[in-house]
Amino acid sequence: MTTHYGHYKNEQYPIAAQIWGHRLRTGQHWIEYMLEFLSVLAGFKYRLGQGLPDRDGVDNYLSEYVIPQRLGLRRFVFYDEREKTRDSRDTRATFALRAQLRQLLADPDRRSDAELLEQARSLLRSFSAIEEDRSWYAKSLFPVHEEFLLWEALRKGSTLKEYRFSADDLPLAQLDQGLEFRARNFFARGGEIYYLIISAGTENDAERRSRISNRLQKLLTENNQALGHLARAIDAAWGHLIATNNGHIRGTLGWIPDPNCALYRNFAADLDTFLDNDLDSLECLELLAHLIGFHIISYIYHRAHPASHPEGHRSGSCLEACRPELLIDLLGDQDGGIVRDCSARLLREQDDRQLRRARDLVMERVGSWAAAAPAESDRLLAYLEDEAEQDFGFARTRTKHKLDNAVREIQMRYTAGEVRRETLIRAYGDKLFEALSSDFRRNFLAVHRKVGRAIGLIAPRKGGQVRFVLGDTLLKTLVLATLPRGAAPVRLGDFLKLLYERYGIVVGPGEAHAADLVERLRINEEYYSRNREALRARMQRAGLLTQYSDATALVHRR
Amino acid sequence: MSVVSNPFVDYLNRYTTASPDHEAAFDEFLSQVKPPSGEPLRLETRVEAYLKECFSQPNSPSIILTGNAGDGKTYLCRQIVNAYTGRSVTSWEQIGDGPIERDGRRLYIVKDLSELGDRRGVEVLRGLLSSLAGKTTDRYLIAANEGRLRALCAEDKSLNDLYTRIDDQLRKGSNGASREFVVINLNDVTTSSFVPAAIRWMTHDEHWSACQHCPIFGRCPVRHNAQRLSDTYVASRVQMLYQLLEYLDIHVTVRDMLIHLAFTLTGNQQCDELQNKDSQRENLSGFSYYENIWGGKVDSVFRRKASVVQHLERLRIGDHSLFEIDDFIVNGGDSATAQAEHQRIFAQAVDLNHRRFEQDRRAYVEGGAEQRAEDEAVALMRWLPHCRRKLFFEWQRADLVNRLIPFLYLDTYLDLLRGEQCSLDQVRRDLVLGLNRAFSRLYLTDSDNLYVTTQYLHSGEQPRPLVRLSIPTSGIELRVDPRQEVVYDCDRPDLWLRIAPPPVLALREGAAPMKPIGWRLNLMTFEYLMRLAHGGTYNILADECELSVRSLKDQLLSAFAQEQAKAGLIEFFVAERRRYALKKLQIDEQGNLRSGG
Repeated sequence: MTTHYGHYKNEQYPIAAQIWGHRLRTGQHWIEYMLEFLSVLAGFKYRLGQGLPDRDGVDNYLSEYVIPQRLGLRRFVFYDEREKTRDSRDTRATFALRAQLRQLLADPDRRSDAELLEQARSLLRSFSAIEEDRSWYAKSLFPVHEEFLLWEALRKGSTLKEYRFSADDLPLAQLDQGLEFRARNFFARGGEIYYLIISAGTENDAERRSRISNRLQKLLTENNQALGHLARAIDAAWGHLIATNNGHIRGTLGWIPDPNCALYRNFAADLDTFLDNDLDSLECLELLAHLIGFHIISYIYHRAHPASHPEGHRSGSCLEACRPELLIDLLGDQDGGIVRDCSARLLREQDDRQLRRARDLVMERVGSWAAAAPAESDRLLAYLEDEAEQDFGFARTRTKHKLDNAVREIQMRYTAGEVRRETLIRAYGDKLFEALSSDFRRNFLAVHRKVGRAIGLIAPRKGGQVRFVLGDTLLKTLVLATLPRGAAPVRLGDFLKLLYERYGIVVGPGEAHAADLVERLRINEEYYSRNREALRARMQRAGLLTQYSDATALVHRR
Repeated sequence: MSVVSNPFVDYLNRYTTASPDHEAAFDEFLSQVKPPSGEPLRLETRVEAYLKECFSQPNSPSIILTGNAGDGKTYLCRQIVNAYTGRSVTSWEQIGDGPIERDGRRLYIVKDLSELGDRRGVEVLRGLLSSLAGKTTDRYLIAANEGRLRALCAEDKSLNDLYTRIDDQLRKGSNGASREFVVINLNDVTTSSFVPAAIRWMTHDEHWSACQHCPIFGRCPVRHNAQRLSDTYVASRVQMLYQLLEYLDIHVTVRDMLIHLAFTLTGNQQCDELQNKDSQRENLSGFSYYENIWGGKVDSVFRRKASVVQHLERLRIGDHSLFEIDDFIVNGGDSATAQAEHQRIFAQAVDLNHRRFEQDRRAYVEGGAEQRAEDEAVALMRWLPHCRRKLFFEWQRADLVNRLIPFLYLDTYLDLLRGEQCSLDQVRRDLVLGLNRAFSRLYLTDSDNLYVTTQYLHSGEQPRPLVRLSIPTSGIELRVDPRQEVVYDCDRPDLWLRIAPPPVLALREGAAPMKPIGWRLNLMTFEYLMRLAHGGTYNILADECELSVRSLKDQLLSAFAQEQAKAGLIEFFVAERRRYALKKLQIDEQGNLRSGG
């Protein structure tokens, strides 16, 4: 029996959510997982484990996260003449804000005022986190300070024709109206999932929980304070102009399944170890984004495994049973690209596993409905359709239409006595899955590839032969997450074993044997050895490993 | 015609076979088997003297020797056993596994820690630890590879203390004065110190008297090599190449050096082969020492196996043209003295295929009717790389031939190491400018301050490097550390940048004075920063040097960056018309924005 952690409403969730929680979606940019996570955490006052529905009795419990809108800051930084979705309200708001900011300047020399503002603006803009060309309300800043956290907004109807009335007549306070924060196209709740994962993983370890939250709080509030002041001053100027205090966003969390899954505890341990570092704050945040992306992908693969089962997750046996096989290609074109091809095969297998998992879920459901269905054959299909409607819902009429046609066809064959009950059930399950799978493919299936490409786990970004790799930044992140600070250096062989046991990463012959890949893939063991050697050389160049003359290679944290 | 053979050549050739069995037996070979002529090679090393002195005293310390295979650990162990027992030991079986007793004290000798299994290795280290704690009077002499030593210590929690003490000495230098525990890293020994002595031995007359009656006496490349290498100037140039590797932090073991020098001399040729080739009028100029030293022919086995050659080959000396040198080769120079020098260096000899070089040269310079002009050019062009390499060793114009080495700032580096002060200040400023450019990846022009910057690299917009820390150049010192080591030969001074904490920190009340940060520069990082400072692009040598630069940045930030000191001040670089300007924004508690300072 899958239990849930978070706000599980009894509504119709798509298949992807029923397996992986609410929710992960393709539209979310890799860095937005971290942005959303940090925003939610800040919104819960840097406390993990908040936002759950059944904890009202606990003191000072926060059931919603509360985040400042920061529209003033956002407009100042991102809204300009080259903006692609212009609106006269925003244009006026920006103008008014700049005028106000000029008054804040203490410099009596007027000519350098505009320059100063421009410099401040370009400085803030240089922290723009998303390279894609989005509208100003969907752009974000790299969170060098808490005040830089911007939540996704949307101006309703902005792509339609321009606002009809003149913006000049409106009072300033109304210029923000029409901007809402519930769109969740980009901040699609992936960050909430990560918040829930870490919270679930520290449910029984209060020390670890407080360590993680304290470190993250320090990371966001104690560094770059001057920049934080600047951002706050700008936003406060806007707040001053519109003289309201209602500029806050409130939200509730999604949910994740199997709260006791041992994987969550592992992720929390990784995060704890990682955060205990001496890095410059910008680098730390960059690596944190890589770590979060990696964890999300690991989570997807973990639950996509055929052996994924609630009992297994609860008991902790899932760590070994649901371990993926991620053969990392470090040789590329060398040696005929053999390892590259095998790695590409395993990547495709991960796609297949996700599809199969989704399909199995649907078949399971249909099977359980059929078991509870009335015995009369003519009512069976109607019963199944009712159940499906309840469980999955069909927002898209086109999908429903196709499904209806297919169902009618099955019905005809059934009443004609051509098929048996089991066949009917199976056929119905197939068609149902087909109808649902288009949404699944469009909105979920590509998540792991998109995030993987961005963090350096999957390459190339564009082009064929997509396979698993390990970029230098990701390597550094994994070293920091698995080797505690102050621990003695670890032999390369032991480090690779650790990576395999924790994440399923396969590089050399030892792990290939442990993962049964040698038999399955049937390539000469020599390739794995060369693969391992390539990783050793790479880690040495990256400064993560020291090779001594007697071929002892030690991985160290600094 | 009878074949005359010089047994010394065979002896040297046995050095050059690089096989695993050979390496294992090399030590035995070197000291046990006398060469057929003259004395065996005895290199006087400071570390041997130090160890003998230690162990001839009643209260000797425990010693760990680390180093690569071929640095002489086993050899030194044997010398110590000889000194300790007072008699000469010829085989390890004589000593057996147990300790040696003397005056009631036991000395445990482990000639190779890797030979013992994990369990036994940990036992030995535990024994060492307890003797250091004073629980026993045993002493230990352990030879180990650094990697294995560290891995073993890391495996067992009880050896944590030992690990710290070993790590300390390995990183900061041997504690030679200690009477208790000394860790000597033979990787720090500058092998170049032994090159002259080794060459002298190899070219000593007594080994070459057997050549007297050889039919190719005046035409033999090996004998020619021996003669040339006996010249002290040429030997010093060979030593200079080894020093160059040391400036690049590449350590060459003594064994590798001996193998390399032997190959340089003989090219792995046998006497009878050479006589045969000569009788067939083959071109033997390819076996000259200045070709052998880079590994000989392109596809030779030696080239692939010898690590020294792999390093030297990357320098590609002689492959590129330099006008002054090529002009000298082809035309001989302007003045009479230059002409005379040309005639001396390029006199007929086997390394120039006797008369062939002069013929080709004349044909090119004067022209002739027999061949077409292009052929003449080609023939001479083929000689050029060969002749450039010859000049590298034999022409006493180091200022010119050193330019064949691709390091543009090598001479500056060498000047500094020799203690010449005149360029010190300018170089210091150049290094600061280079660091500014390396940190920010912009062509900054300010060298009055060192700016430690950080930026968000994946920004969708132009990155603006933020200044986290700025240190005035007056607080940065460039120093040469002569590295006078007592324990072992180390003839390589080090170049250091000493960066003092910024004045703001120094003036903080009540705080303990902060120590300056030291950063060692090897030739590679020096070259990288100088090139950057003089307008080079960021990517040249970035792969090799980025790590070192980044670790300096991390060190500076974690030691000196103080948020509080700069609360409210934001400094960053902005492109103006002709340069990058430093802009300062200040924001105070009331939220007022001003351009700061």
